[in-house]
Amino acid sequence: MTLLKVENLVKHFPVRINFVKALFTRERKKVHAVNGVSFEIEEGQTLGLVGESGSGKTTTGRLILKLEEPTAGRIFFAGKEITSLGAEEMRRLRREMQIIFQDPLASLNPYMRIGEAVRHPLVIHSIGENKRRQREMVIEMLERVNLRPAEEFYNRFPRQISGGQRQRVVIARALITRPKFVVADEAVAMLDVSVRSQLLKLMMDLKHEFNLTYLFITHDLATTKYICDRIAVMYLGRIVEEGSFKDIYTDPKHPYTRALISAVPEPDPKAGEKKKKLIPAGEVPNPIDPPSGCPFHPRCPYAKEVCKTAPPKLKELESGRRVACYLYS
Amino acid sequence: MSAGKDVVCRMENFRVYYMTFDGPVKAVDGVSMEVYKEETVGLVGESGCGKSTLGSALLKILPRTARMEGRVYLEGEDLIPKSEKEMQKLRGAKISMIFQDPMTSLNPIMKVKDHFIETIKTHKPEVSEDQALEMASKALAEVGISESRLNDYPFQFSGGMRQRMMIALSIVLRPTLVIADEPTTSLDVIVQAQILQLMKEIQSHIRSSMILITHDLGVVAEMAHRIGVMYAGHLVELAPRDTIYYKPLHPYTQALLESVPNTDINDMELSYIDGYPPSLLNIGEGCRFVDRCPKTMKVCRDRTPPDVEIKEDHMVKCWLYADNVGEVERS
Repeated sequence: MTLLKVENLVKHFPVRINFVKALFTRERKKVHAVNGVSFEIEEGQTLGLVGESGSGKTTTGRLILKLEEPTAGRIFFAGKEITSLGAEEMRRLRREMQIIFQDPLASLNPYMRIGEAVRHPLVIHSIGENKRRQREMVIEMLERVNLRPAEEFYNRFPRQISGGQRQRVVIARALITRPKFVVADEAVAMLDVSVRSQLLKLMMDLKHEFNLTYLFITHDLATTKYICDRIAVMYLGRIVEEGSFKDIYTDPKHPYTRALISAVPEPDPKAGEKKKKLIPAGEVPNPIDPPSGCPFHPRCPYAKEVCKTAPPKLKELESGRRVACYLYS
Repeated sequence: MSAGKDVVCRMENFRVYYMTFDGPVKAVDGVSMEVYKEETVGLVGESGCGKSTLGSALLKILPRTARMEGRVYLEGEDLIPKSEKEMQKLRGAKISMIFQDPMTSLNPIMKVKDHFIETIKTHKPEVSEDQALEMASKALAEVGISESRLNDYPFQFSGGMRQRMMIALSIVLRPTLVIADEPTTSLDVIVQAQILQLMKEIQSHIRSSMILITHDLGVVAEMAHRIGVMYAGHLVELAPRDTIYYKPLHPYTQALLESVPNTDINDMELSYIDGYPPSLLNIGEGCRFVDRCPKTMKVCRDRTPPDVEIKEDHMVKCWLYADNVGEVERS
């Protein structure tokens, strides 16, 4: 069953200009953060959304949870359209849709004890008969994410624990309402390798235990291997390629995906020497003024005339494999 | 050790402690190593292992609470007793630094050209402004920035360009030792690949030595000739690159390499190191990896392991490889 489906999601942010300028110009610039993104996630699956900074991956995650209002497009959750839901209805729905942010220190209130922070969603959604029952649930959850002894962690403040432990708290808080769907926005990016792997393992275990569906947003292709069933690669607000991890990794189709994979430094000198680097020149263009046609065409070694005209459609090459590139049409 | 190689920088039992009211935080504790001419030494480790402190200590740009002990020789001169004034003469000229975040290390209200003029004139007051500008545009050209941007401000540059400018600034006076502290960490992978390529070219062009500080084992695999692994203030292993990757001896190096996600789709095992690094506040004797190590012995808790020379150019700080441990202590 499809748990989440987005259709042609678009988000433009207006660029602020000063008052004097606004008087004299009619031009209103926009940041084209997300430019027509469509995908589906099956229940119990994990979709990895991969891209560089400014690709629109985080905005996409926020749009799905309606932390941002989409400019256009539709979002379906568990078969129901949620695009136009009001704040109150959305609040109720968030019991089933949660998010884990990148920086656990920024997403925890520094004056709130850890246990209280994890209990907070229970209060908001009135889960558990009384405070004592809620406390029990929190202790159980803290134990589940390996914050032991849980009683002791309950009363600590975020600054008193390490970064890895803080991210465990954030995971516990996201999962305490037993959501079906979790957006993990660079959830392990800030952690050190050894701790990052611990957290990835925990997220995978919890996924099976709670039958979760993840949207795993990351800039790091290597971590997607362990947790993602499918991967969508974004560039300048568009999905340029989608497929299984194996497809993307062993047989990338889109020139951008190829460049992205070849740029990842291999933690193995011999493999690194063998790997062919296909590094495009220049940097990602400004999303205020994205290039016409295919957003990658100014940097693409295969660019043809047609690439400048209109953005290529995301076409199904074979089952479960989609590419937006004129090379394949 | 290593006869025939020119030593540019030598550290002997180098220690950096941050003094606090609760006692010293032993951020770098007893590091001994050498950097040879024209080589890149990678220093890897996780946050809080002391790698950045070590890098900044070599330039003596640490906060006042830091206390340095031991010996650090740069081309034969001991840096530890040097005054701030003497250090200013060395910084930029003989030893320079590339920081992680170029936006905070460049002055936002100074034009690009003024950054260069300041650096050049400080060390070479005899150089005229025109000559300095010429040197600046040459250095910028080396990193792929056109000289027409000399009149711009750093904030008008993209992240990758700022890092290029930072590199140009650090090499304009041709230092003998460049310290690069997480130079590509805040950049996206593709820009990172561009910058790493550039750093390699520049280094072979100006023939300097480099200490590359990073947490990314992929970056050092591409860049370094030798690699030092740091853990909780100790340099636990130091060896040529391939030895570290294919024949690591220290249990921490082994575990660290295992926990790095690789891109081999046939290897789906994800291993990790249980637990967290220790607090370095008032930390005493003993190996610092002891609580997370699968091979802990009795002696590991009681005494700090020595730097064991396995063979030429391979040092490991671990009791497992020390000969002088009695059978009783091993048990």
